[in-house]
Amino acid sequence: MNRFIKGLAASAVALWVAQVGFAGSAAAEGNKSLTAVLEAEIVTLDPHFTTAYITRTFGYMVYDTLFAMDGAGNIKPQMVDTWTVSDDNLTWSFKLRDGLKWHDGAPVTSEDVVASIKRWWEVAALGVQLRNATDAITADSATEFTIKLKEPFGLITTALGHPNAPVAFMMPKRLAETPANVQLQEVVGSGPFVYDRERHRQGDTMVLKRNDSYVPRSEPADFMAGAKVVNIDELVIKTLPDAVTAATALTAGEIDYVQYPPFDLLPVLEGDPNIKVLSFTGVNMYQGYFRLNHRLAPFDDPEIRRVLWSVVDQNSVPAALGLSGQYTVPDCKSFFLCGTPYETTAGSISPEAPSVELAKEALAKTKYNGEKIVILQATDIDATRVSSAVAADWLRQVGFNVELQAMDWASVLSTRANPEAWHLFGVHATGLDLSLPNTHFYTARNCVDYAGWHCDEKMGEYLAAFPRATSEEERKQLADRISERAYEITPAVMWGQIAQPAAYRSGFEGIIPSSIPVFWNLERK
Amino acid sequence: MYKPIASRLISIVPVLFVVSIVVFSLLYLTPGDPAHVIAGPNATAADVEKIREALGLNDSFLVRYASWLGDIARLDFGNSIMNGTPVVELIAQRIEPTLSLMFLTIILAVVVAVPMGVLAAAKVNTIADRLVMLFAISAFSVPVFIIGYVLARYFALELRWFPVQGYAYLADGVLPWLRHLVLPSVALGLVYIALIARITRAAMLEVLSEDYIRTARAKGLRSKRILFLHALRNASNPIVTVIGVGVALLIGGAVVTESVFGIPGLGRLTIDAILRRDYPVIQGIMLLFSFVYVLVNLLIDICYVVLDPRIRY
Repeated sequence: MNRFIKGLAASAVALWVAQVGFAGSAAAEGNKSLTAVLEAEIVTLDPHFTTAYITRTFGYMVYDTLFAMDGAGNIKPQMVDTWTVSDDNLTWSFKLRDGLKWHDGAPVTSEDVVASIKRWWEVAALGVQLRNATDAITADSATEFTIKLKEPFGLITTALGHPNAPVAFMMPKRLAETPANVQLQEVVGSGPFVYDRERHRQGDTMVLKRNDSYVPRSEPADFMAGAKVVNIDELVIKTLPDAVTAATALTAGEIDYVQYPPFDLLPVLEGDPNIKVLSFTGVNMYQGYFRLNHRLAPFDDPEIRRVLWSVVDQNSVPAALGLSGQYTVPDCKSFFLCGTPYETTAGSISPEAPSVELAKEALAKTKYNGEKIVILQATDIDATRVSSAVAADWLRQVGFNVELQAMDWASVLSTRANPEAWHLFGVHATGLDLSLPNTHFYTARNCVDYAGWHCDEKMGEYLAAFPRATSEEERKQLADRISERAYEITPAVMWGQIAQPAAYRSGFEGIIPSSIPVFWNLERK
Repeated sequence: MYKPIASRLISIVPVLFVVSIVVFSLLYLTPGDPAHVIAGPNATAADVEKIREALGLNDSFLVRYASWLGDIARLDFGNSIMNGTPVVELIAQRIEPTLSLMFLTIILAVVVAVPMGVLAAAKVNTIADRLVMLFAISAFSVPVFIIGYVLARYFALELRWFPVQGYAYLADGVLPWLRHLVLPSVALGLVYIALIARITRAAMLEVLSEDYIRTARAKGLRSKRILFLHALRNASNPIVTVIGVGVALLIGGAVVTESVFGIPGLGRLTIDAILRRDYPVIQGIMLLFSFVYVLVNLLIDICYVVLDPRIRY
């Protein structure tokens, strides 16, 4: 009997091992699906409601845009087929492509488009500028609409196609008529993927199915522009808050794509023949900043703010984050990132070799009198945690009286809303937002009620002139002027330009190199 | 027996009321604002204010608390501030993974820890006893996330016996469900095993020195029978107590374990809700945890009566 029981147990164990032996190969064996772990859980599904990057990513999959940016930064038509501009540049007429449908089967009409634009331009930086320049927007026929301007606005297609969040995503009129400050509960887009509400398990998985009714453009896929041909049946977006677990699951073949593998595991992933690491350049990179509070002494004094340029060495924070040189652009002195259309170092006062000694000399010439400098440190995001810690160390060495306040990101967001509560915090954002002077979080928020509260008359003039410029050459000159003023008033100081590489199983081809992860065009080998 | 049980069940109401006041006050005093989280880092003050107004976050503490309490009285736990999903639905989606994890962990812990503790007590001051104590101290000392990563590294990544992450719902089959829970249960259970093993050992040592055990030995009873039938039963009250108290330990540990192993349970829902300042969700979960804790204590009290008929309420 004993022997029988032992035999039975051994058989059970053997069966168990045999069955669990291939644990983790599900994703690799899935015929037409892809499992991805993105930067965070997609919680807010209304792409006009938030500036959160993860909702923008969701938006690009499920919704579509009138125009879209290509890999070179050019704006190309997407839902729009053709458009014309009057001689005085004040009347813009657009015609939609034929065959566009919402996910509920209804045709996309110009009335839907007009309502969507009106919802979006209440909340988006570029949208507000377009709204202020617009006299009227009308639906002329089922597929044609017109924007009549009060004054020339050279960035009209840029505004409608730029990936700066919130993006001008289109939605049916019945949804778009919801006020922008009320979150939509229904998801109906016209993009290449369809949101599967039934299979959405919050905190676990979201499933996006291929939109079989989608009519792609004829041009090849190029960043957010061109043909959005989906070659997989469905995209499974898995929520894994622990980046190490996500990287381990990728190695084990349980998932196919990780948007943000941990920096310190990149060498391990690079050495795995089954995994490819996807790095980014130009607008797809991030730039880190130390945001400064202009309302609170001593940083209300521009002389004292400018001291920071002398000490911030752009190699230090990326190194502290564990990033190797191949993922950084060393010493980029451009507010609009390096490798982007408006790259400029005009007005730079950042020395070739910043140092504590240089900063001490600069500080000695100011009226700094030992006032406390409060640095906010968000401990739940690596880049903000590390950059704020490095800033605190630098400032202490220079001779500032520093208090580093550690908290979570949500607390930073609310604390920074109080002008009396802080002086500096570390933060980072993508080139998609920072590469354009009038969407840049710091140059463009001049005299806007936005944490940091800088306000400069000249900067305001340059920013107002930027969208009115009629040529690219004129815009580049204005970008130079804005850069000069930015160095002068120092709304923020760059701590480095970095890539946040993605990693994926090497069985896929055609992945679009984009910091907004999109899953059209790719196919499993 | 029924009267005290009914009385304990009724006492849940004031307990939950006090918990609700404490949780609501703490959340009110905690820095952070869901409107900022929803609007995103790049929103202006005006954008944030519109959202605050729409969500009713500008109302006073008392107005918000009274409104929430009124809803609770109608068994309406509210909706998530982040996306409008009913809190009850969110909790319902997450309760199975957490209950499964806790259930398996308790089973594993009791099955492993009690015999270990008995063995250590029976072989006190021998190598076996020392090994059990060494294990207990080690399991107490190593954080659950370290254990989790090590287990995932060897048993999932190297040997491929178990998946690295995720949860398979029971509806999808028992084997996948079990396969996904083995590593998390072991990771979470080690500290629990250590705790129960130590208490079992201590309780058993006390009982083994009693006269009736000596009498049983003198009568020639088999050692196993003495240990497991006579001694263990009489030593069981402190063991049951620590199993119950350990449920709180498990709830705390589940938060970390669920994060490490990517299990979409209540622990992760709690962390996410706190990080997003999703007040209705936090309040809902805290009430649930308090309810469970009171219930577990009630079960322990009932177990005392079953295990020791001398106890009366």
